[in-house]
Amino acid sequence: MFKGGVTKKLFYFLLIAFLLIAPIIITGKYPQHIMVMCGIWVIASLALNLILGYTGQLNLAHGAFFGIGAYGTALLVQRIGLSFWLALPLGCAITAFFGFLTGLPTLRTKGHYFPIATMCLGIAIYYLIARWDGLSGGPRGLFGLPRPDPIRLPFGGVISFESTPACYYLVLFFVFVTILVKSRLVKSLAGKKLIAIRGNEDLAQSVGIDTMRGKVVSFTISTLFAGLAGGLFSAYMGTLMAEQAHYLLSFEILIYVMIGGIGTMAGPIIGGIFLPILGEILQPLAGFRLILFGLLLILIIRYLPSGIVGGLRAAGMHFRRRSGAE
Amino acid sequence: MKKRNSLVFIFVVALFFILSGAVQTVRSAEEIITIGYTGPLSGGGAQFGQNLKWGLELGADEINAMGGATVAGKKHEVRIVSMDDQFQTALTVNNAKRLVHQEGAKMVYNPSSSGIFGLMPINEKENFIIGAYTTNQKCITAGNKLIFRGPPSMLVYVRNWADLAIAHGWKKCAMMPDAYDYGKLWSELFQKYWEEKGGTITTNIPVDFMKVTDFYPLLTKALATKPDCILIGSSSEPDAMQIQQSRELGFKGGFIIIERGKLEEMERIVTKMDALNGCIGVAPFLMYPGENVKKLAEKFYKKYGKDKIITHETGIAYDNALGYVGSVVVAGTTTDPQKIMKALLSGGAYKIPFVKDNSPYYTDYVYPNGAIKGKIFGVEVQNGAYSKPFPVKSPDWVYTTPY
Amino acid sequence: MVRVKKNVSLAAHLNSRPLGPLVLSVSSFRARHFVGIFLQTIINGIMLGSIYAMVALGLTLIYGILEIPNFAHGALYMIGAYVSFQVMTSFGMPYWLALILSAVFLFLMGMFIERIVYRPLYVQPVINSFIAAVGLILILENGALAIWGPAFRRFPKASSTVFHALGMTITSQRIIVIITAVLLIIALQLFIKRTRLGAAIEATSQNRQGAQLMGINTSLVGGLTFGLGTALAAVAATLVAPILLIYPTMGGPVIAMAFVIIILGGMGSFFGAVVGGYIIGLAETLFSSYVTTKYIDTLIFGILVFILAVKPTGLFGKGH
Repeated sequence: MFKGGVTKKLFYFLLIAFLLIAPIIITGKYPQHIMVMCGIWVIASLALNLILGYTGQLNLAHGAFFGIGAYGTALLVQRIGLSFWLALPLGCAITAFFGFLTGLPTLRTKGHYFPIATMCLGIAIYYLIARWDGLSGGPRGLFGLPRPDPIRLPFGGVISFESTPACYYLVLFFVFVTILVKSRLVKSLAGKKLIAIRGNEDLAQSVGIDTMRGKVVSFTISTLFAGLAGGLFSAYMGTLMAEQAHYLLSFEILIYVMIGGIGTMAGPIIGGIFLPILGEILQPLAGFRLILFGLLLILIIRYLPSGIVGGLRAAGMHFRRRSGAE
Repeated sequence: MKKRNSLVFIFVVALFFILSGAVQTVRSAEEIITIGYTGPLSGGGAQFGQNLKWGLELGADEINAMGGATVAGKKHEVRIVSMDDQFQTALTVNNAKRLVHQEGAKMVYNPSSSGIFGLMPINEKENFIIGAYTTNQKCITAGNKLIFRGPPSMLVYVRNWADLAIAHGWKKCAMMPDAYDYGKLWSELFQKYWEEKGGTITTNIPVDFMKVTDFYPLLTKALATKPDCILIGSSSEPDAMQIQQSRELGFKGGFIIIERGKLEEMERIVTKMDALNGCIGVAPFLMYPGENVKKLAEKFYKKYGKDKIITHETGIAYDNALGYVGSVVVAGTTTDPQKIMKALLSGGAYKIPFVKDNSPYYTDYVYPNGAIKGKIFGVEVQNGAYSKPFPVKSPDWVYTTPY
Repeated sequence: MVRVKKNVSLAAHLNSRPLGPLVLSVSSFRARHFVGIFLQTIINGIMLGSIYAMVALGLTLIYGILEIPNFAHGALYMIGAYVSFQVMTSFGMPYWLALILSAVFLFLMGMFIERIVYRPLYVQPVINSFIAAVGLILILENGALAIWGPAFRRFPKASSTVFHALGMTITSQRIIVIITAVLLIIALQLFIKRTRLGAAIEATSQNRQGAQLMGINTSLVGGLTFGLGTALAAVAATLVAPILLIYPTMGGPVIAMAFVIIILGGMGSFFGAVVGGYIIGLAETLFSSYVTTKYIDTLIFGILVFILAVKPTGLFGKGH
């Protein structure tokens, strides 16, 4: 995101330090709950940004994959009795598998057919989950999902996940994992290919980049992390409903990414933190809150389409220019 | 370069301070008794959610009008904090956490069985009472120690309406419940009881009243099975449309109305009252006996306008709000849900003047599992008018036996 | 108006014979019953199809010109119903006047939205128009909720005459829907093919740059088309409102179907929208009446995904 040695390292150090001690500084039970939720949304946003920001494909079924991960992990724990630590990776694998399967037909479409195709895909998956009573509990959903099993430490002592701060650290861990994997992917040669696809798919194809392969890889990995977010959600919240697979969720995450800053590393993170909190702050406004959100959306997309990060960069460049030389 | 870095840095740090600051103001529960409410205030169940909110608010007004409730010698104001959850469990849980930890509520009122099931794993841990507005039996037979239930048990409605229908000689019933969890549960219980009594269910056609584009095909299908009566379970207005259109299609039989549909709201939708002939359902709230009902109705119209309709949902929520605050008074504490719950179960709240003199149902008994004994009246529509309301039979076992 | 009575003379005739009536009247009753229900289903399917066709037509017109599927179309449909409702209840206007007023109001609203919200976004990636549409939906649905409240509303003066014929039941409103829709669709087709403005719309939808070179004011044409498409939705909503109830989220199911239709029929294709609308309307009604499967939605949308992958331009669409 920005170059430069010492400043960058210092910044990251302070940031990570803050994140690590956040639950100690912020002691309110509800803010702690919000922090966990934000972490989950950040993972989901980072995942969407991979296919959207870096590969240029708008996947409106993102929410459905979040749901598959959520239900997959939950059912493995509740029906089959697996430990969360096994169920989560399996849940991610299942989601990625479905991502791969559905990516193959949908990614064949060009241009603005892809969002429509994924919208239909998302609806199809939503109704499957909502109506398949035997599997998903239908309209009632799933209840009583347990927190992750406690981890026994080698030197005695146990890490339990009953408390909110513990879940916060768990989610934070996975946020770091997601960031790491994503930045590796983006930096690597594969990543550069993906970005080329975003820029101009036909051109990329003409220079020999296998765009289909690149898109499928990006899509699959994106859904894998969507599933991860979903799995964490199900274990933390303890209940699930089909709404967790609805396209409205896709819109929500899309908003986080767009307003945060599409195609950047920090964008989804900022969006995934800032917007849910904004939503919480505006809660007292009830119905007007959503009207405001709608307005905000339209204004940002019109005047600040590269999101907050884009805006900050532009502001930064502006200051740089005004202050003369770099 | 440096400036850009620092801009972003400052921004992110500021973000976290906003987080800690803005969201951290916790209301203390000192001289305030806070009741939290999370329910559908937008979307399909919104009128229903609104009815309950009104009831809670009227309860708070009642107590505040006399200067507040005296708990341990000090006057306390009653405050209702409402949040919208659109019947979605994830939001219910979220809202409940906010209501308890940010707003200081010790009781969270909620009208969705899914929502209640979502709250049950956490309410004992997070130390708050669930005020369950539901007829679902499982929620009070699951062993949760901090829950009370306002409406009567589901079987009370099922059995009473079915008994009346059978008494009319109706044997064949077509079921058209709502397509959601509530309709599924209700119709399952109904089918079991109806068949026990020798009747037959001719078909089961769930109605997704939020998504249906035309009732005709569904009604046509149901009427083709030649039922004597139809069980319907949507909200009041879609119910009324279904009844109206089934009359157009030539159906002359009766309707058993799952209590989500309220006759007083349905009245406004049908073109003539005669269309509702043969309906069996909960009596309009205004037909309930007793002065307290009239008093409440007066206050309701004064506060919300004469064009609004007061239903038994508002009545029960009002009753529950009074009962809860009364229990707080008896318990002598606003911060210990265990004590408040104990006081509620003792029934002591209902002897306090401000509760006794206002309870529309003259409630007097709470079962040990938290179910409040219901005093519901049913009614029929015949010859374009309501029959005399009759009290429903609600034996003890229906409240205490798991099903 | 006149109520048509069921034709009972055949049964009466048979009933006068010994034994015969027992067998014959039962089977002929069943047959009549079945035929009656079938005919009724068909009529309802055509009625539903008329609504879908109008909504899909509006959507496809807008798509053809502006190359964006207007996600907010369903919300505007809903506003159209509420505007008619309000105009009738507040000012006591007759139904037809309310319908026209609503159409005009939504026409203007459509032009306004195109100018203010979408036009600045043409230079940006298509995603941004999607997001703007999401923002619009939030504003419109919650605005409607704030103004009119959450309860389902019954359209005023909704009593209609009921006809019984051939074992089926039809209300006058349902017939009005069908007739109005057909007339409107024909009128629209004539407008596009026979008038200069219509030709300009068609030219702009086929090749925007080419049309611009020919001197057509594509911005104005674009705005007018948007208004027209939106007005169509308003008419559809007002026509169907007396048969159903109106509520803030009523646009959802309709817009989902409209998308199905224009995907199948081909986005931007007039013919595809109309034919697709009637096919889907009939299919949905026949399905509701004769088949019950919980998974119908999954099936429909799953099939659509494949259609989009294999032949995205649909049955009648033009290539993009």
